[in-house]
Amino acid sequence: MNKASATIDDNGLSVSNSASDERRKGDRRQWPTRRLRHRRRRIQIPAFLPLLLIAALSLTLLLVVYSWQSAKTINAETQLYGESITKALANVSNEALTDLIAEQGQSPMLQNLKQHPHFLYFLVESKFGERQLVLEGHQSGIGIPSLPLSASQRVSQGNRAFTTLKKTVGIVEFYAPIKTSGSHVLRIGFLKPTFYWQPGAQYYFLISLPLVLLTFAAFSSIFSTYLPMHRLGQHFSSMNEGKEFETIDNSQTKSPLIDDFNALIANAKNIVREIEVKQDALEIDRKVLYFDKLRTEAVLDALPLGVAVLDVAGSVTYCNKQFLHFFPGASPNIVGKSFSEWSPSLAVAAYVQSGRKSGGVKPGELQYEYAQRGNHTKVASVSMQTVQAADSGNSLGELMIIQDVTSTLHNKRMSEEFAIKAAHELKTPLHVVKMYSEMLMEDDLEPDVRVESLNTIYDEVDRMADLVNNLLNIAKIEMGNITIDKTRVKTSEFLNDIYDSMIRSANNSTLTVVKDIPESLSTIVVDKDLLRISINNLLSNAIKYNREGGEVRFAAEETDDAILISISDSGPGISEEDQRHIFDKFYRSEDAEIRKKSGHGLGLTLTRNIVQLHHGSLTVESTLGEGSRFTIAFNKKSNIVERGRV
Amino acid sequence: MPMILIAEDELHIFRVLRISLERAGYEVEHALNGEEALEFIRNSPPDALITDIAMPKMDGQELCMRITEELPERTFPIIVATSKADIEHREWSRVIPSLTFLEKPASLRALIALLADQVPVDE
Repeated sequence: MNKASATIDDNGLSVSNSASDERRKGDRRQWPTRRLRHRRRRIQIPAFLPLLLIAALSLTLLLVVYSWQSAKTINAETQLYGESITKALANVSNEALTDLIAEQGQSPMLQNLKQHPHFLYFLVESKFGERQLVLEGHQSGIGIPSLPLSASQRVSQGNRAFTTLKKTVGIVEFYAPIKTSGSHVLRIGFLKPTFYWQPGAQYYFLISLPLVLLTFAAFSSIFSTYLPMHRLGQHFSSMNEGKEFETIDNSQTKSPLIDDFNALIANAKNIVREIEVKQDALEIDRKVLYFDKLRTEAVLDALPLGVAVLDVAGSVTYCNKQFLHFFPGASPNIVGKSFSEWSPSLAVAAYVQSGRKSGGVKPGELQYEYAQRGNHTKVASVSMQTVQAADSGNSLGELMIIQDVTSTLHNKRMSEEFAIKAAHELKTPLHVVKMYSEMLMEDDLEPDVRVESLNTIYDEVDRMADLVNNLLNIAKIEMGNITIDKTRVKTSEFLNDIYDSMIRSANNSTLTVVKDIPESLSTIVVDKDLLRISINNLLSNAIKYNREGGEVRFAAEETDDAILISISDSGPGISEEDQRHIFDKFYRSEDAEIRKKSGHGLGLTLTRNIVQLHHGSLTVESTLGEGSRFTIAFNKKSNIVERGRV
Repeated sequence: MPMILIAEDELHIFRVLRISLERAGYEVEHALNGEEALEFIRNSPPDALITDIAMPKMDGQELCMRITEELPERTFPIIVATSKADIEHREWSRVIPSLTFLEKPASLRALIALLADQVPVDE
């Protein structure tokens, strides 16, 4: 049931087949020792057996050769002895022979014969085959062979060799006719050994065998142990010198030690390979994790928020780049330090400390001024909450998020102010209309006052309508609700058209209007009605804020990068302070001369909004006492300008 | 003829006030803002001051405070024409004697009646 199941182990680093993995682990733990022991038992026995066998065989061979040589020497001696004693006995007289037989071997001559170690028998045979045993040797059990002599043998001296019937014993027999009797033959038999054991040879054998064995054992151990050890030693020192971790060639030596060593090396290599594979996997995982970390940090650093994590003790364990922007003056190394150690604002540190104890700080609960930029104070809003590990639910610390709320607060204040100012601006003409109409109710009003009142009421209603339109347009643009109806427009035609209608409505003015609009301008793609409002606003401002007999210049030009539409006046100019705020909603100069002209401070705001809606820019240049120039620029890189179309 | 100083940046409003007050028998002087009005009062105190609140340079509130500071012995009345929202924020006016608020858009008749009560016109 080796059902392979892919599992992710604890640290989630690798995916592996758990069943085979465990088996492999088990193998690795037991396999080398078991294998070593097994090999040693099998190899040690045959290593000694042939040696023992060879030793015994060589020793035996040596002994056999030696005993064979000994036997040859002895047989030669026996030959001489046999021949001489046979000759001597053949020449004995009949009586003497009878005596010898009668003495039963007691005579000194026969004593000598009897003492011979290989003497078997001495008999006298008649011509009828009658045998008379004269003397028998000590070698009993062999008996006297019944081999008869041939006729020729009976008349001459000689010897013959034969074996017993069982062919186990070789015999040499000397024969000769007894001279005095003439009819009797004597036969003397000796053992003729093939091998001869010297007396005591077995002791030499017993003594030399262990010596030989020891010598062989010594050689064997030298060959089987010392040499492989020596090779191993050399191998180790070469490995220590940093050479490759390699096995030793054992095809010639066949040393079990080297086999074991090779098995160890192979095993070690396997383990090293497995470790390397795992290490590679770990390295990849580490790189992936590091990449993840970098990405997460990059994302956190890109946030427009300050993000920090405080540990349970209140020390900062992480903060992104933005975080420090909210604490100008704090050292850049705040990680590992508690809030009160580094925070330049003691109040914030105290609040954070109490927030940690009470379980967080809700968004909007803590706001503080952290920096000054120009005239504005920058305000940060802090929120803090406990972060819990997704798996265990343990607290990982407090996540602190700091947000710049300056513009939010500013926008809030601006929209409140906008509402107040809009109401105020609407009330003023209402106020005027109400008072003039009340005055008109007087019966005895002078006719010229009556006319003036009616005119004023008429103008103020116009002004109100204008104001309401502007307010609506600004609100639409700012809320993104306006629909831009873009059409392709011939720039010069469009500007000339605006110029013509302006000239018609301002024909009773003392101003000189200069127009400088080339025919060859590129076409633009704009919302004609909206852009007309913008340009009309600028033109009517140039007329309104001008001196008696002054000049209005309405010009356009095309550069390499942009189309520029400019409206210049020869009015009192705009102070630097006013230039900074001139596009703000409801802003009006404090200059009394300018305030004498009616206005509600929305025209330039709307003009700029419209230009920006067309990805253009509206700028002002002005010199006090000389005049001002407003310039609308449409960059050719935007798709407003259609290059080359006329 | 009693002389009335009007501090008002809206010329149309000043104009209608001037016509109406002159018809009612007052002499009318004009200041475009608080600064001008204060300067005028320092030179020749009027018989009454009618002032707007929202004005450039120095607004009506500051004007009243400065008058009270500089002329603790002042006797002429002050009428402050203001919107309802501003009336709600008039804690500051408690320390200023003989000050009346007039809510905008004001009725000309109401203004003239108020003025006639405080600064009668010699017949």
